[in-house]
Amino acid sequence: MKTANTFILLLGFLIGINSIATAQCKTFTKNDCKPRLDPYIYNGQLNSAVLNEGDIAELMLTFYSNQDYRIVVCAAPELGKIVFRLVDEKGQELFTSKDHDFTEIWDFRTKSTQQLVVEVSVPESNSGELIKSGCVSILVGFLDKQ
Amino acid sequence: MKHLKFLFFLVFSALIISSCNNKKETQKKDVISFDSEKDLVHEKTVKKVFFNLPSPIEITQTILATKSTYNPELLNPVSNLSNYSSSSDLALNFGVYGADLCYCRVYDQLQSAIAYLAVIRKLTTQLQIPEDAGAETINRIEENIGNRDSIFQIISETYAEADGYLKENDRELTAALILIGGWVEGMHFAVNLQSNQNNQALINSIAEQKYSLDNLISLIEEYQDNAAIAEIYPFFEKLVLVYSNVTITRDKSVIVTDQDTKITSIDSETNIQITKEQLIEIKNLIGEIRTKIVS
Repeated sequence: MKTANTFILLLGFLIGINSIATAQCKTFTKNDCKPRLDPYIYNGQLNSAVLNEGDIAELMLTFYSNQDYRIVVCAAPELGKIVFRLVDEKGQELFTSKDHDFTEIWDFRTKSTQQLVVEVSVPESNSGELIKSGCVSILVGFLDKQ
Repeated sequence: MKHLKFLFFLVFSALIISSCNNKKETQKKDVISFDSEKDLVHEKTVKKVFFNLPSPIEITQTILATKSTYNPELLNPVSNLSNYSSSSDLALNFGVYGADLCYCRVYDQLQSAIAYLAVIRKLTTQLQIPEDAGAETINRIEENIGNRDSIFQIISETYAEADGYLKENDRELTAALILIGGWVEGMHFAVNLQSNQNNQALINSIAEQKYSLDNLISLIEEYQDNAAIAEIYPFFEKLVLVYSNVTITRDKSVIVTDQDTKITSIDSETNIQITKEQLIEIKNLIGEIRTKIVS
């Protein structure tokens, strides 16, 4: 019985930690990332996750023709310089933040509708300390046509 | 000691099950192919962060290309709200009414927008989405109803807050139903506006929804056990079949930066082939799906 109680407590603790991390990630996205979309209109899709060093995450997005977009990829500072790339359906790299001083923002216009993959890479650290983890958010905004 | 072993067994089992689930998810969502060298890294570590579909705000943006007149008959009447009682119907129609609100915004129909806003507020309560995740921003819409520029911003925030709350609280099915409802209503606008005029931009937009449909059908397949989804699933299967014969080909993308405006464009020639018959079939299927959702 005692074991079962300990297990439930342990499980509750783990779930609790996960919930706190997710809630903190949402707050980080709202306070630190979303303002960077301005003056673009947020598309309303909340894409944030807690990633570990060395992780690569991706998100497939549809960008419509003749629209002006802003992509913001922002990460908790403890993750270091993250890299984000935009890759088209054919696997062709269209943009990498590595070539733009690790910028977190890219503004662009799409001439035709495109399915693009946003790929985010969290660098590995060689410090040998505990594995670092933190929130990473991918936000998309567009300009109102009217 | 025996108990301690049992505890370790339980925790270890939980971790194994969890990692198996994660692995399955990673494999299922591993959707793009890279060159062979990067593939190795890709298979090992890549995660698809979230499932993504266009919000009604983005879909209704395509309507702007039509320059058509406001047609209130395209909207789901607010009086229909009393017909919905199950959480699935409420969520699907949250999406439908959200798209309707965006449609009203596109045509500056502020009085209608207020009426649809009231409906969304009721649905937010009925779906047990807490005040701070929805209704607070809805209050702001009412305060800013005369300010057309801020309305899109506030609607998008409302969607993001509700979406975030539902995902955080293991209510992904509700979030998915809202997205499905919003997509169907957006398509309903597009196919009906298109049938009244021969607008190539709109035809292209309908054809290009092939991409969203690919994402949407994966989402729908995940929740086939839900009665509301089971009802509309066969129509989506037919829709996928029609779209499988719609061809979109694209040349290699080129990045061009205008030296005067400093705007960077992703430039590529696209060739879209969709027949009149296919457009009619899409219109009919969307009509059938929408009828199932709103009636």
